[in-house]
Amino acid sequence: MQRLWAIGLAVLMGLAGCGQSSRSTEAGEPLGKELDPAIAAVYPALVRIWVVMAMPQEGRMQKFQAAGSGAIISADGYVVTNHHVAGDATDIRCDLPDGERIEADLVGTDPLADIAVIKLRLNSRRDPNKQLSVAHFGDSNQVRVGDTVFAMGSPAALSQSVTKGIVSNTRLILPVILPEEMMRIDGEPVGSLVRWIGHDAIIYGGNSGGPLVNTHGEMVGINEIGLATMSGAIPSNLVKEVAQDLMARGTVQRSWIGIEPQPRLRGTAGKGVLVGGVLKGSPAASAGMRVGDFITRYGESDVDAEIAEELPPFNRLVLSTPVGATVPVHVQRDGRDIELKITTAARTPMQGKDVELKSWGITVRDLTRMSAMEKKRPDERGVLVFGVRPGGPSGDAKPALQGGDVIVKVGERAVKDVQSVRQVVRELVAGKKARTAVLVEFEREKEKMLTVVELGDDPDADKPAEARKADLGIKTQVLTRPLAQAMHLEARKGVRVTVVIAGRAGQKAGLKAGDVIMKFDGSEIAASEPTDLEVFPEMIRRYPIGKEVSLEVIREGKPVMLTAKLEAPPPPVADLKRYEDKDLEFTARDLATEDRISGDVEDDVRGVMIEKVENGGWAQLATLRVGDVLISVDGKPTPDTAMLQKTVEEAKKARGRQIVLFVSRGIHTQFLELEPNWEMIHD
Amino acid sequence: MKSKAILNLMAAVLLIWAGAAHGDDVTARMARELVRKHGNAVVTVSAVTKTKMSVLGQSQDQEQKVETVGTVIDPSGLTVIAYSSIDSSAVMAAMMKPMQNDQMKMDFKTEVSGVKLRLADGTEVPAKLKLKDPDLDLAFVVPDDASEEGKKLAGKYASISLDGGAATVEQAENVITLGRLGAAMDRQVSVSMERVVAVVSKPRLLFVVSMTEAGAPAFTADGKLLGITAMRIDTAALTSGGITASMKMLQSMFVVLPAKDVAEVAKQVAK
Repeated sequence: MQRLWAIGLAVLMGLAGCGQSSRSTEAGEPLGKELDPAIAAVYPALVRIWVVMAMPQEGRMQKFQAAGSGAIISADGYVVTNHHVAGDATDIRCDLPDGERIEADLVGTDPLADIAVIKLRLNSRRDPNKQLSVAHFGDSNQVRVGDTVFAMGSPAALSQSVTKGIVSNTRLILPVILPEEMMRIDGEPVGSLVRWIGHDAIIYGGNSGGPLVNTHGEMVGINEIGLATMSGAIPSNLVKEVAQDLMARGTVQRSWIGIEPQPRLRGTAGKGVLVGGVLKGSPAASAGMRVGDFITRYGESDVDAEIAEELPPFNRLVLSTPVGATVPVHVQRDGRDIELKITTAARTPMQGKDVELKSWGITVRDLTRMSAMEKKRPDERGVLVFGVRPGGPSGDAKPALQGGDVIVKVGERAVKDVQSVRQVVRELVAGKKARTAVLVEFEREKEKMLTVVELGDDPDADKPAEARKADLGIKTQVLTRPLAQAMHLEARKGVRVTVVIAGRAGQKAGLKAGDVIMKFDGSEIAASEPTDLEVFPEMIRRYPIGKEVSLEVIREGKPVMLTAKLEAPPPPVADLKRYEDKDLEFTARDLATEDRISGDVEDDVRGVMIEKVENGGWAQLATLRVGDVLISVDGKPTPDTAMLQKTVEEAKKARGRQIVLFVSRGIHTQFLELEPNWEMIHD
Repeated sequence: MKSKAILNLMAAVLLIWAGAAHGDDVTARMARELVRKHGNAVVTVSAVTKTKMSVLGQSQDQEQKVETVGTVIDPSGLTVIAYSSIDSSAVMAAMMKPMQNDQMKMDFKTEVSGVKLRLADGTEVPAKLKLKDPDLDLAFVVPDDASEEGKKLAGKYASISLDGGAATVEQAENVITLGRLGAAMDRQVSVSMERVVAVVSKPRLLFVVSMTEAGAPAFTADGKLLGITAMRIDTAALTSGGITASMKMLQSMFVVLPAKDVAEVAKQVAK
């Protein structure tokens, strides 16, 4: 969710500023002179990034598709972007400005700085030897208020675009009136490290990860946030440092000393960074640091924080200390200068990665040092429950697991992390097809509780039959009094036939559209108001299937007597055959008579109705939609679900780069390219 | 003379009051008798519902656990519930209809799984949703006789027979309905006396009653089975919106379906 805050902020800001001017090179407008070097240097290296991400929601990892921006920073295909764009992606595809699409892999990600590096799969290009354009970092320390800058990226997932503005602030931080949670990404307080370059070049959701470029064509920042009409970019010097670490090691190593620094209180004499908190068991606590101390010197640097803007540089100083180094730290305490020796520890993530345990119906996280401390736990052993699926095995347990519970034992065996839970469960359920009842010990706040979870696959959805009732295969409207008068009919009650379905009982009986039915099996049809719409269908439904009934009809002003044999209705939609493809992530069903009666499907269209398209699934990426009629797959007709299954299975066996779907949408038809990642499906 | 008239009037009032009190007392006694006799046949039915909403080709699922009241109508455990209590997609579709047009169509579907019968003694029996009749707002659930609990109980469920249910009531008469309270109230059997607001004869016979619980058995004041309660949701009123339309809909939302009509549909479960 935290990630959404950041994205939402960018969206909000973009909306607020949409009145400002923006120019796209594709618009073909003449560009200002100052834009040319920037365009020439960076624009060709801009990428639009499509990702599939998964976020925990009610005990499931819900997939969704998102878009962001990035810039190519090396000839061998490294691209820098935001962590919140690509850091948790399960599938990444990049569009270059010339329209070429290249798949990419995550190299490393750093939620604290909100920076990620991905690498283009150059060997999958049509022309692997084609040179890539590369953007270069500038020195963000040289950026001044008033400088002209260009925000480049893909606002709202549009193709690569440029907006222009000036630097408004070189050390933008979040105002204290905004909740700190607004800028937490995966639990990490981004604002503790980053002071953004504030500017008024419009950015929008989709610009995230795109470069902020100076008039020399250098990247001086990576756009990340928006507040009202103000945009914020992460300074390039920090981005460059983080990107180099990620490219070299796939991760960023940082130090942790366990203090909570804050600016000096108003009216406090002297200088220094106020120690607001010292976490128990931390390096700072071990070194003797106390709440209320003022840190005046850290290592070789004098430090001071009179205002909040001065905290990120101090935090950066501490975080960038080599892990395990012993640092002399001077503090002012009761008017005395005291030197402490702090040996730093490696900083670990604020929270573990979200993982779905499907057989449990929960999403969980490993405990980290900080999340264990927040839960007031003595160590990091155990598995933190984040979300529980209603009605799933854990949601159905008595007592049910809840978000915030910490699982400590499964089947009477202690579990230290998600991996060990998986291992224990594998052993407990090995060879069993039915659900397996497992004793689970968990801790809820101070309580040590037990429950039994029946682990296993979800039961299939029930497929109830629909009650079968007699049907005539026609549609009617009520013969209202004004209608009867206008039609010069003596009768004032009855129904008028509006549709006769081909091949059904009504047509067999000789009914025609426009006939007025006065009596049904000798009984008057007591319908004369529009609200009596259900009277006639209800009369039919109360008869047994197969019964012969008389129909007293007025046709073109003359009485006609007909006899109809009532039939079972066509199979309801719920009873039709379905094909669910769990790999390509869509469900289709045979076409129903109702689809054609309603006009949703033209009479001459043969195919299957797309009933479900999984969010973030391969079919959705191909823009397949619920309601599409799938006419063919790779050119082979799919008139029913049996043929669809056969054709799709053949296509999956072939593992081609793409599967071409031909669909009908109303009066329109379209070819769609479905490009599954076979390796991921195989995994 | 005048004082005698007043005394007579008072006596008459007292007699009327006593009569009314006596009548209430009789109905209450009958209600308690019905609870004693049929309470165990009124069960809780739980299920997991997944409602899928599709808009502009995109779909989103919402999963929830629902509990509703059910009436066991056969010793085999065949149980009738109100279909609307587990599938609200028709109501949601009607409510969202004004927002739809040719360009933006919404589609709602509900899948049901994990159905369980929770009996009066707390025993939970896995079950399946076997038949639905959205037209009458009925659904039929059968216990899984292959399950551990199902094996023990096969053919021995406390039930209310729908056979011979030809009882009828007139407008303004009382009916007695049974129900099951929720988990917070230990799922106790509940009983309430409802007034017949109207008797509808077309398009089919229905007894409209004041607020009650759908899926429960309803009895006449003298203890004869009248039918099963269900909801008649006027989707047109929901679509057109407006307070007046909604109030009208609320006035006629709960009905008692005659027992023989329910039995007629229930026959299809065996088929």
